[in-house]
This record gives sequence, C-alpha cells and structure tokens, in this order.
Amino acid sequence: MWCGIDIGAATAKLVLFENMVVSSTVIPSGFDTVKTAEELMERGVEKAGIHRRDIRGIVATGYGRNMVPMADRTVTEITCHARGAHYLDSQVRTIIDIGGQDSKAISLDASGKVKDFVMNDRCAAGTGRFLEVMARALEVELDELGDLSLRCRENVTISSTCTVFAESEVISYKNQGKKKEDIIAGVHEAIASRVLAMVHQIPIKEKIMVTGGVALNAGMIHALERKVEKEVEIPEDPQVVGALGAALLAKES
Amino acid sequence: MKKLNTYENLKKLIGSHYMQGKTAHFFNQKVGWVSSGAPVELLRPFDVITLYPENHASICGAAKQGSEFCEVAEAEGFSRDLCSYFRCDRGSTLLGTSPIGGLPRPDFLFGCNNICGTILKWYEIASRHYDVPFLFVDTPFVHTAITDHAVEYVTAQLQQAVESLESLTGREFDEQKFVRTLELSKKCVELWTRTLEFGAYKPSPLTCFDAFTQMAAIVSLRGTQEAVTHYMTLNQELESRVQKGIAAVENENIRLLWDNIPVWYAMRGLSELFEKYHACLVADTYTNAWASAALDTGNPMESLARNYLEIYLNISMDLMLERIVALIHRFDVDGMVMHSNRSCKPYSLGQYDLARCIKEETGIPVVIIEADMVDSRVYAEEQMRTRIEAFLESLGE
Amino acid sequence: MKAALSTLDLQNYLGQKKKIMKIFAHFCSFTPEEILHAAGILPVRIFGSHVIEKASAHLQSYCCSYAKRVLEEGLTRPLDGSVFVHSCDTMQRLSDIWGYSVKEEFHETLVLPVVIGAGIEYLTKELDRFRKRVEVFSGEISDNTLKESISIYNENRKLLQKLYERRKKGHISAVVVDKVMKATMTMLKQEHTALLEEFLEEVDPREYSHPRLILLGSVTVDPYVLEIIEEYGQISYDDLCTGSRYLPLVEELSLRGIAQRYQSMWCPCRAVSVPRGPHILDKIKEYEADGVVLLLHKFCEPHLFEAVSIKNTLRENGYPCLQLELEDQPSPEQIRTRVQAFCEMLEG
Repeated sequence: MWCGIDIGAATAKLVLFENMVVSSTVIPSGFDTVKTAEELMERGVEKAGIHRRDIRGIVATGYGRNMVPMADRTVTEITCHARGAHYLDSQVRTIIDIGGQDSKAISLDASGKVKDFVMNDRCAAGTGRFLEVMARALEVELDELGDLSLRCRENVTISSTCTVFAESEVISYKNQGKKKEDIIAGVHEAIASRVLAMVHQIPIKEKIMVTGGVALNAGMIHALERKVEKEVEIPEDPQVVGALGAALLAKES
Repeated sequence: MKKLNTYENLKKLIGSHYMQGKTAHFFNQKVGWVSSGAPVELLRPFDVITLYPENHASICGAAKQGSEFCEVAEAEGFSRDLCSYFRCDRGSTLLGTSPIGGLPRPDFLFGCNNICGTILKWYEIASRHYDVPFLFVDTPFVHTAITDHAVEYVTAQLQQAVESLESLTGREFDEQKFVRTLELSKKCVELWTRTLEFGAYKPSPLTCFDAFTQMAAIVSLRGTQEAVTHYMTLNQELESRVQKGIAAVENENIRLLWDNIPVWYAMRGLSELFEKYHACLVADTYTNAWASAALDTGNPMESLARNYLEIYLNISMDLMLERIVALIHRFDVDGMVMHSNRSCKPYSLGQYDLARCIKEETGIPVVIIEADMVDSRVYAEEQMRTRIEAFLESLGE
Repeated sequence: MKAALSTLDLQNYLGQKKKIMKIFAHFCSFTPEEILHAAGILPVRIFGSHVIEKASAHLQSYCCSYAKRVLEEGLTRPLDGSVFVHSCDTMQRLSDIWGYSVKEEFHETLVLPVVIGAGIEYLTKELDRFRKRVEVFSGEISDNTLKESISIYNENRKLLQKLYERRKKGHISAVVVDKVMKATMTMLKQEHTALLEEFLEEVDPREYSHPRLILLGSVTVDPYVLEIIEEYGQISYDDLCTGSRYLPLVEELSLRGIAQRYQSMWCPCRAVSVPRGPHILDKIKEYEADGVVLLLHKFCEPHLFEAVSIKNTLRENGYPCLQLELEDQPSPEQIRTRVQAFCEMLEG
C-alpha cells in the first residue's frame, strides 16, 4: 500500500493506493500541521481497514509538506497534480487547480510530465480564499455558492481585483438590493477572469482538467468554461488529485 | 456641470484627426506614433500623420474599456503593475480594435523619455512588434537647472532625428515649414495657456474636467492651424461665459487644484461629486504641463531642446513644487486633490512629500486619493467617495 | 570555508570605517564609484532594511520594495552622503524624496543618459560635472589619483571574473558568490581585493547533482531566496546587478573610460536595441544550463517589461523558465514550492 498526503491551506487530504485508489480522506487543516497529519493518517488507515505497517511509502505534498513527520519524501503539489491527473485521464494536457490560498495552471506532455506551470502571486483574488470572503459577506455557505449562482438572471460585474475592495463592492451591491445569485455569479466571473489571465501564460491545450475543492462548485466551472471557451473535465473527487499523485509517486520511488 | 459648446467642435476635430490616421496608408502617407512629450514640431514639415497612443489609451479608459484591453496584455505575460496606458495600447494592438477601431499600423515611432522611462520600454516593444524604426530622443532629467551638455546632447539627437526622418520619408527637411510649425505651436501653446487662465476667474467658467477633454488638441495637434483655430473658438466661448457670469459649477464656493493624470473612466462620477459640494477644480498640474513652452523661432533646435527638457515630469520635486505653489496662488485655490496614480511612477512617487511641503508653504489642505488612470479594476469607488466627501465637508465648514 | 571574506560582518566593518572616513550611499551598478574612491570616500551600495516602517510615509504601496528598503535604511541609519544616478523613474523620484527626508552632508544625482552609446559625450561631461561637485566636498581629485582608483577597481574586478570562472565549473555556490559581491560593494576595494585573493586560494571544489540554472534579475536583496534556490538547483551563471553586471573593466583610465565601461553593461533601464533573450540563449549553451530563473521585484517596471520577451524567447527555444516575483517580505514557503516544482520539472 502507498500513501499520498496533501496538506493544503484549507483542507488536508490523504489517498491510499494499491493497484487502484483504496480510500481517500479529507479533513480541515488545523493550526498544528503535525497534528493534522497524524489525525489524517489515523482516519485514513481506519477507513481503509488496514494497519499503518501496511504502508510501504509516503509522499507528502502541499504547503504543509515539510511538516509531515511520517513522510519519506516531499514533492510539490505541481508535480503531484500532474501525476494524479495523468493517472485519471491520460489525455489531459492542461490542469487548472484553484486551491484555498493559491491557484495554478500546469501544462503536461503526453507522458504526464510537467512541461510548464504558473502560479498566482500572493494576492488572494483568483483563489478559494476570495470565494470564502465573498460567501461570508453574502451570508451564504461556501457549498451553496455553485447552485445559487446558476440561478443568475442579471449580470453583475465585480470589477476590483483586490479582495478587500471587491468585498466592499459586493456589500454595496447587496445594499443596492441586487439578488444574491447575481452577485455570486459576478464573483465567479471575477475569479475566472483572474485565473484565465494566469492560464494564458502557458499554452492552453485540451483536455483541460480542473482540480481542487473549488472544482465542486458548478457555478465556478460554468464561469471558467465560458472564459476558456472550451469544455473542462472535472474528476470524480477533484480535491484529492494532488494526494493521489503523491501516492503514485510514493509507489514509483 | 455645464457642457461647453466647443465640445462638439473638439469632437469633430479629434474625429477627423483619427480619420486621417485611418486613411493615411491609402493616401501613401507615413504614420508615426508619438509620445505626448516628444517634439512633434520636428515631424510636421515631413507631412506625416502623427498619432498618440497615450491619447488613444485615454479614449479607451474614458469608454470604460481600458481594463478589458489590459487583461489581454496581462494574458500575454505583462504584469498588472505595469503602466495601464501601455497595457491598454498593447491589448488594443493585439486585438486590433478599440472604441475608435484601433490605431493604424505605425511606419515609425517617435518618443522621448521626458515623461517617463516607461515610454522607452513601451515603444521598444511596439517597434519590435511592428518591425518599424523607433526614433528616440533621450532627454536627461533636470535636477536643479538644465546643463549645457544636456542641451548639446538633445540638440544633436534632434538633428539626428531629422536625418532619420529624411531617409524614412524620402523628403528633405523644409526649414521654412519647420519655422512656420514652431510659430503655430507657439501660438497654440499661448492660446492653451489663455484657456487655462480662465480658471482664475471667480466663479470659474471651466473646470479641469473641461481641460482634460479639451487638451486632446494641444497634445495631438500642436503645431497645426486647426488646433489654433479651435482654441480661438474655445477662448471666445469662455470669454462670453465670463462676461455673462456663467459659472462651470453653480454657486462655486470651493476652489480646488487637481494633480496627476485624470481617472478617465470615473470623470463623470467625480465631476458630479465635486459639483454636489459646489466645489470647482479650477486648475490642474496635468494640462498645465502643455502651457509652459516659450519657443524661440530664432534658434529653433536648441530652443526645442530646452523646451522639451523642462517638461513637467522631467523636473525635480523642487521645481515641481515651485510650479504647484505658483498655480495655488494664481488660481487662489482652497485645497488640492492629488490622484495617486498606480500607473504613473514619475507623477505619483513623491506626492506624500510634496503634499507635506505644500501644506507647510501655502497652508492649504491636500487630500490624496489612490486610483489608476485607465485600469478601473483597482478603483474602489466607495472608499474614494467617502474620502473626497470628508475632505469637501471639512473645506466647506 | 576558512577565509576571512566569508565570515566577515559587513555592518561591523562599516562601523569601523565610519570612524576614519566619509561613507556615501549608492544604489546602482552605474555609479562611478571610482571617482568617489579617488576622493577618499567609501562608496557603499545599499540593500536596505527588511522591515519597512518610516519609508511608508514617503512612498506609496505600489512602489518597488528596493526603493522602500533603501529609503528605510537611509532614514534609520544615514551615512555621510548619497549618490543617485537616474536608474529608473522610481529611483529618480526617490533621489528627490531622499533629499527632503534624509539628513546628510552630500546628496547628488548624476543624470545618466539612457542611450549610452550616442550619449557618451554627454555622459563624460556629466561625469566631469559630478567629479567637480565631489571635489567641492572632498578637495581636488587629481588625474593620477583617479587613474590609480580605476586600476584598483580593475584589479578587484579581474579577481571577481576569476570567481565567476570558478563557479562556472561548479566549485562555488551562488550564496557565497552573492556574499562576495555584497562585500565588494561595501568594502574599500583594495581591502576586499586582499581578502578575495586569499579566498580564491582556499575555495574547495564541490560536487553538485542538481539541475543547472541561470539567474536573471536586478538585485538579490534577501540571501535566503538564493539559499532556497540552491537547495534544489545549482546556479551556474547570473545576469544580475549584484552579479555579473559588475564585472566589466574600465579600459581607458579616465572619465571617458568609465563612461565606455557602461556601454558594455546591459540594463533594461537603458535603451535596448536588441532584446536580451538571444544573449541569455548563448549563456544557456555556454553554461550548459537546464533552466532559467527570473528574479523580479514586484512593481519594477523596467525588468517586468523586459521579462516578457525573455520568457518568450526561452519558450520558443524550448528552455524552461520560472518567474519569481518578490515583494517587500517574500514568503519563503511560496518561493520554495515554485522552485522545488520547477526543479522537479527539469529533472523530469
């Protein structure tokens, strides 16, 4: 059995892999990364019904990768996402990953190797964090955003790229009596255009796969597809693609 | 705000200017892209069509399309932190469109770094893109006073530019035409200075928002008869406003000075906001930058060199301060609004210290608002409104 | 490393020098340090404070971090004087702001031409104006003293070139080279030369197995950025102000010679008739590099402009390139992820 651990800013993910994915586990990232990793491992092992000693190799990835005590080695989430996505669909040539604190675009060759990648700068616009802030301003749950925005009737434009300014824009729309679903659609649009500016710096080739928790948001995907003017593929469990890649790399090494 | 009748006049003038650009190649005329601080007088004798990417970018900004074009440049890899005039122009070039259908392809570029070093990078990129020559005149920054070797250096480059233009157009430089251009340019600058001087009247018959619109001709058509005629008409209208006691802002009771390039996409909102408080922006440092030339037709090249060395953005903060204080006194303003413009480093960096010096030297209050001239994505309207209202409330008390 | 050079405390060194000579701050590779040296003044290139507090009252948030850092340094620990050289729009305005806010005995801006070739006459005269301005402060600088100073600088730069040769063979890490460069930009040249000679004798060969990188940019302000890069890759060559841009020698021992030296130094703030990309391609081949890292400061216009064509050239020729944009306080973890991923990619 091989194990991949992906400690992100918002969530921590674990995948156990033998000849296929045995189990995957997602928990919120705690303040203490070491503890988070321990808890994740316990839950993962329990879920798969195996023993810790059955695990023959562990690769850690994500921002907390260097804080995972049981890891045999660390690999960045860029390489891991590429590996995971290629395993899920070998036709994928571009990955867009919108994570909690950063987003990235990766271009792959036919063998699944990373050819080029870009990451956003330190600004939160274009990341999951931006969504969180806006959801809070609109008093809706994060996982409601997608369905709500699909009911959008009238286009509302969020023009600010700064998260703080955009938040005040959202609040002023709210005060003007604009509908929540319209504002949320505007927020998705804003993130999509920010992400696109980044993606354009690497050649966009089909197939395109979107990974990361934000991929579960149907409204966000809709906005992205409109911007890319191409269809994108969403894996069954988009959050754990990085952890899956890590598990695969553990097996390979 | 009362619209000037001459506005329609200007629209026609600028419209036909861009139309000339569009048809230039059909009539076998060469098109030159020119920076706002470049000595365009040198080009006129060659009968080339001159177009101003900066003016074009401001049109995109005013049409609220600036950010869209910027995004195109950003997708090409240009940082969001680069000048938005550049990004806007680049985006428009790549898309081949704009509110006026895009600028025609240049046959050459002509620019000076007296407004910023950005021009150099921008035009280098355009020159590589279109594979056309870039005639560049390096104008050393004036720190305390213009040095003789700087004048020599610039004069020599102007002469070099003439030679390049001769081979580019296949025409000889017509000295007489050149002197006539200089005379027209001088006349134009005098008329423009006169236009701006109207702001000293109480109440003022014009605001800086009028000046921002009307400046298109002094920037783009300097050295032509059309520009001279236009400003004569404009001045007649302003004169008649003064005689009839027509104010640009009703019940004017706050007089203000504006600093920096306008926030093109927010002009209307801003002018309405000031008007609500009966505040009139009677003058600005930006349009006054074209009001200082004193060309000497007796010694044309050297005089041209000196003039273009002393452009507002090519001088030290000490020299800027002198000019600002003079404007404050001449226009008798109650306060100053500084636009801290993310896009323009030479205009904006130093504003914090200038504001402090202005307060110390003249006693007038200064408010600094942060925005961008073309990229509305960094504009926070609510914050801007609150800050300006608080400033005007404090002045009105 | 046993050599004194690698353990030297530059702050302490400056403290000692302050007691015996005048020290002037400067900020650009195009500063005629030789003239200051000839005047008995120690020119020190400033890299600035890490924490920015006072400078925020003078510079907007969208100003580049290098300008903010050096101003903070000037406001906190002023030296005897400062010399600016019209490096870019930001540094030009910073010169004015500095003049208003930093207490010192000497402040001068040398207005470099942006076309060094065509502007050589102008530049020579501007250097002469500067020399006279310094003479008012220091007393006369004779032609002979100037020649001596230029020779002392040439000696040092020859040794630095040797250092670069050693690194080419992979014997010295970029972190160490950076340290040596920062030292030469701080110390009295002849003293640095003595230490550098000793240092070059003691350098031990090292083995690397990492991908070979070329580092491009302006100034390396935070050494930890280099440290992170070298955990995953080996920097074989650089195109930096705090690196190879400092190496050219002055051929003719005169003001004109100093001016001519600037002609051989590439800088995006100067008129660039040819794009930089092809030159980088040559270096990639010469140094057998696997990839290029572009180290940029956020809000640094000249380099951000040039970066696009460099990246395009590299991409068209199949060379990978990583752009790192640094802010006031770059986050080590973000840099680490990007660099590690980039090197994973290079290793395939």
